[in-house]
Amino acid sequence: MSVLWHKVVYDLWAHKARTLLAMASIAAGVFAVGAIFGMVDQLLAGMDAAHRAVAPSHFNIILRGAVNEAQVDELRATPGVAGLDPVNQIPVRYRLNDDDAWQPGNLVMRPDYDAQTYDVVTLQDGAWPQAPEVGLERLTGQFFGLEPGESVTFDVGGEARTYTVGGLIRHPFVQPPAFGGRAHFFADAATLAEFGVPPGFYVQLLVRVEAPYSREKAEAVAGELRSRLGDLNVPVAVTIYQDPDEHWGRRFVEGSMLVLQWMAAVSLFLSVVLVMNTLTALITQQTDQIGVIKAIGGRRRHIVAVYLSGALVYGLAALVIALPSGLLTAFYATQAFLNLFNIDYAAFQFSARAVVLQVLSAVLAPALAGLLPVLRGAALSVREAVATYGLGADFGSAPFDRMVDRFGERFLPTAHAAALGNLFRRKGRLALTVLVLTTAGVTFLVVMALVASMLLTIDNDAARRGYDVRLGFTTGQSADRVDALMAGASGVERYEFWLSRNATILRAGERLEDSAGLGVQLVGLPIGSELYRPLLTAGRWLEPGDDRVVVISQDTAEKNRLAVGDVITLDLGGVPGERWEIIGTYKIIFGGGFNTEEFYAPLPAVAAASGQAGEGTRVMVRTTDRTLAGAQAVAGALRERFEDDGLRVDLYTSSVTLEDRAFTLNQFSPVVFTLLGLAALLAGVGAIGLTSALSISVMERTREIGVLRALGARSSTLLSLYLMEGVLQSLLSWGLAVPLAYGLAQPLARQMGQTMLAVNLDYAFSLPAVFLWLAVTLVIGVVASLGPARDAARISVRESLAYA
Amino acid sequence: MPPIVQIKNVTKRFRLGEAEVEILKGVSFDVPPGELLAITGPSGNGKSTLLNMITGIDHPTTGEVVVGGRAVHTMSENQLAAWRGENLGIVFQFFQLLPALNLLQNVILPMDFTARLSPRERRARAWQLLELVGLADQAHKLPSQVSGGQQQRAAIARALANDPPLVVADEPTGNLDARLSDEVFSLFAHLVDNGKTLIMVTHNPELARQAHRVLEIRNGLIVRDASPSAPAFGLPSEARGKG
Repeated sequence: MSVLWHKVVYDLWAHKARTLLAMASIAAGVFAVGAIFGMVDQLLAGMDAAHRAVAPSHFNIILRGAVNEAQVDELRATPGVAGLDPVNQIPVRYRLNDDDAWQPGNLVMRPDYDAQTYDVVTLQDGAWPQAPEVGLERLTGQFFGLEPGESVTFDVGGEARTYTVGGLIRHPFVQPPAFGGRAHFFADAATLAEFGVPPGFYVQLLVRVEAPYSREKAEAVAGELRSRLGDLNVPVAVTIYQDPDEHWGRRFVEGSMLVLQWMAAVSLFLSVVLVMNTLTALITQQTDQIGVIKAIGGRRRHIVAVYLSGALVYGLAALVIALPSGLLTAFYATQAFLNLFNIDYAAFQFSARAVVLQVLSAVLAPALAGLLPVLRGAALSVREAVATYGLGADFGSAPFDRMVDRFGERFLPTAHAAALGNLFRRKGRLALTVLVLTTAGVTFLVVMALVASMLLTIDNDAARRGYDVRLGFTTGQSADRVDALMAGASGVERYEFWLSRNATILRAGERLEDSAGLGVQLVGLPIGSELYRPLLTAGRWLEPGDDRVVVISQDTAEKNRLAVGDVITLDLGGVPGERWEIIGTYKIIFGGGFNTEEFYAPLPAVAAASGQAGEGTRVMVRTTDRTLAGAQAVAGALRERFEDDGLRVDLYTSSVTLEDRAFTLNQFSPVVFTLLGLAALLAGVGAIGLTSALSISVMERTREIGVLRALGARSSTLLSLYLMEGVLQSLLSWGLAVPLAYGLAQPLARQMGQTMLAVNLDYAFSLPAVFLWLAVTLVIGVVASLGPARDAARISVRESLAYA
Repeated sequence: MPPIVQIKNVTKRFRLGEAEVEILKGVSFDVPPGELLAITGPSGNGKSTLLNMITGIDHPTTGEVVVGGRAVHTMSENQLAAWRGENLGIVFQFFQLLPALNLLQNVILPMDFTARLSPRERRARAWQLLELVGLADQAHKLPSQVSGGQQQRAAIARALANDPPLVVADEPTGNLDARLSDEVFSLFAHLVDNGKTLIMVTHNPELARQAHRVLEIRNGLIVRDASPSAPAFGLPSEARGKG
C-alpha cells in the first residue's frame, strides 16, 4: 500500500485547482454548520443565562394608580407570593439639545438600587442615580450617542430642567431603540418626586410566586393581587407574565434558528453533491489507472482506500479553514444578536456541539460524497477500465441526445454544437451542477418572497389604518375639549376620538384567555369609521344600528372555541360586566410580543357600558401630509397643544404609523439579512460547483481541444465554448429555480413568517428578484467559466495529443 | 509438465447495438511452460480478446480457460486481481504506468499488493529489475519524463516484480521503433531463457518469427499454429491449406 499514498498526494497536488475547489465546497458547508449551530447554541444559552442572572419576576403588574409602602406590605402577604418588589416607571419627555423637539422616554426608579430583588438593573459605568443626576440606559446611550457626563433636558411639569447623566445602566427588559423602543433613564426617589411621583409610592409591582413555578400558579396569584388592588381602589393597566428560565425574546429567536439550521444542513448537503461530482469526474478520468491497478494485483479495497483517503484530505483541509471561521462567525453573530437584546457577550466562547458537528461534517461529508463513485470505480472490471476492442460506446442514441444534436447542428457553429452535445451527454454531472445552482436560486427567491410578503403585509396593514398619528391619553378626556383643541390644529385632514378600556373576557362566569395572555382592550370607534377596518376572517364589521356587539381576534376565538353569534361578558373593571355578541372575527397581523389585543365595538356602546359618555382615550388623525416627516410634525404639534392645555398624552399608546412601519422592518431585518447571507453562501457554493464542473470538462476534453487547435480554433473560440457551457448551465438552473420557487414560495414564506416572525403574512412573489437572480446566475456562469476557459486556451496541441 | 495455459473450446460473443458479434469461435490450444508464444493476425480478429481471456480481464462466453492450474474463467474480479498479482505479469501496449508514481514506485507497486517481501526487500528488488532493463539511472523520474521505450522497459520490470511464471504482453513494441523493438524482444528472450513463459500479441512479423511458436488468429479461429522454424511456416495460408 505504501507507494499508492504517493499517488494520493500527487493527485491532490498536481490538480491544485480541483483540490482547492473541492476543499472550498466542503468548507462552505462545514462553515455554515459551525456558524449556524454554534450561534444557535450560544444565542439561546446566552439569552437564558442573562435572563436568569437578573432574577426575573414571574409577572409585572402595571398600575393605573399607585400604591404606598403600607399597601405594598399588605400585598406581600397575599398567599402564593414569594416576593414583591415595588418599582416606578413613568413616561417622560426629553430632549438632548435646546432646539430639539421633545421626545418620548421612560424614567425608571428603584427604591434601592443596591438592594434590588427582581428584574435587576446593573450599573455599567459611573454611579447609581442620585439627585440631581440621572442614569442612562446603555442601549439608549449607544443609539443616541449620549454618555455619562453629558446632559439631558426633561419636561418637568411644563418646565425644562436639565440633568447630568451620572451613570450608565443596563435594563434587561427594554426594547431596542432601533426597533422602536423608547429612551430609558433612571432616577432616585428625590428626582422622581420632581416628576410628580411622591416618595414611597409605586406604579409597578414585580412579583414572584412560591416554588414550584407554573404559569397557572402565576396567573392565579396575579388574579388574587388584582382583586386586592381593586379592593384598594388601585386599577390595573396590564399584567405581563414571563418565564423565569427562558428569556422573553427566545420565542422570536427559536423559530428563526430552526430555519437557519435547516439551511445550514442544505448547504452541507450541496457541498456533498459538489464533491460527489468532483470525485465522479476524477474516477472517470482515472478509470484506466484503476484498471491497471487491478490488473497488477490491486484489489477493491486498495482502490477504495486510495480515493476515499483523497476525499478525506479534502475534508480535513476544509476543516482547517471552516472550523476557526465558523467558530468566530458564530461568536460574533451571537454577540451582535445578544447586543440587540441588551446582553453583553464579550469573552470568546464556542459551542462544543458545533465543533463536533463541524468535525463530523468535514470527515463524513466527503466520505459520503465519495462512497458511491469510489465503490462504482472499485467495482469496475479490468476489461471495462482498460480493454479496448475497437467497439465504440453508443453516443447520442437517446431521442433527447438526438434532439440536442439537431439543435446544435442547425443553430450553432460546429465546435459549439459539439460542446452543447458534450454538455448534455454528461447528464449526471449536469444534473448535480444544476441542482446546486437551482437550490441557491430557489432559496434566494423564497427569501425575497418572504421579504416582499413582509412588505406587502405591512403595507396592507397600514392601508387598513386610515390614520397617520395616534395620540393616547392616560385617562378619559372630554370629547368637547378635544374637539375644541383639534379645531385649530393644522395639518389635520380628519380625525376621530375613540374610547378604550381594559377588559377581561368572561363566558358563563369563567374567565377566558386572550391570545397573548396580556388582557384585551375594548376599543369603541364610530360606526362607519374611515380610519380603521381590520382584516375580517368571519362575520361582519360594525354597522349602523349595532349596540352591544363586538369584533374579536380570530386567535382568541380559536383559543376559546368562540364563534360568530356567541355571547361573552366583558368586565371593564369598576362597572358591572355586560354581555356582548360576537359579530365578527379579524386577523391579527403582528401578534406576539407585549401588545394587548383589541376588541372593536361601537363607540356609543363602549361609552355607555363604561359610564364614560362624551369621553375618549385616543385621537386618531389622518394628516394632510402623509409622509413620515409630515406625520411626525403633526404628532409633535398636537402633543404640545394637548399638554399645554393640561391634557397628559400617554406615550405608551401614542405612535406615528410610518414610524411603527420602520420599527417593524428593523425588527425583522437581522433575520432577513441572515437568510440572505445564507442564500449568498449557497450561490457561492453553486459558483464553485459550476467552476469545478467546467474545469473537469477541460481536463476530460484535452485531446478534443488539441484537435480543435490543430484545426485552427483560436483562443477566443475556446473561450466562447466554455462561456457558452457556463452560461447555459446558469440559465438552465434559473429556468428551473423560478417555477420551483413560485410553487414553494407561498407555503414556505407563510410558514417562515409564522415560525420566525410570529406574523400571518400576506403573500407576494417578487418579480424583480427573479430578474435580479437571472443577472446573478449569468454573472456566476461567466465568472465560473473564465478560469477553465483560460486553462483550455493554454493547452498546446502537442501536449493535448500526447495526453493519455 | 502440464501446460501452463489451457484454452478449451473458447468462444466470445459481444452485443453491438442490435446485433451479436462472435469474436472467438471455439478456440483451443495449450501453452507449455517456458514457451515464447506469439499471437498474430489482422486487427479486430480476436487477438487481444484471446489475451484477455488468459489474463482474466475478460471471460469467455463458453469454454474454459485454465492458467497455472486455475480455472480463470470461474474466478471473481477480486480473486482475479489477487491471482494476477501472484501469478501473472502484464505488459500493456500503451505501457499504463501510473503517472503519479516514479519508475521505481511503479515497479514496487505490485509487490505492495502481494506483500510477500518486506518494504526494504521490495525496494531492493525494484532496483534490481530496473537495472535488468537498463533504467536504474531513471528510477526517480516520472513516466512523463522518460521516452516511450524507457516506459515500456519500466512496464516490463513492473510485470516481473512478483516473479510470475507467466508474462503476457499485448503489442509490446506497437509504439516503438525497430531498434527499441529489438531491445524489448531481447529482454523477452532473456526472460524465457530464465524459465518464464511469455505470450505476446504482435503485428510485427519479424518479432513473431523470433518466437518459439506462432498462433495466427483470423475471424476468431486459429488458422495457423506452428513453429516459425517449420518448413511450411513461411507459405501463404492458402498454400498451406492446399499443401
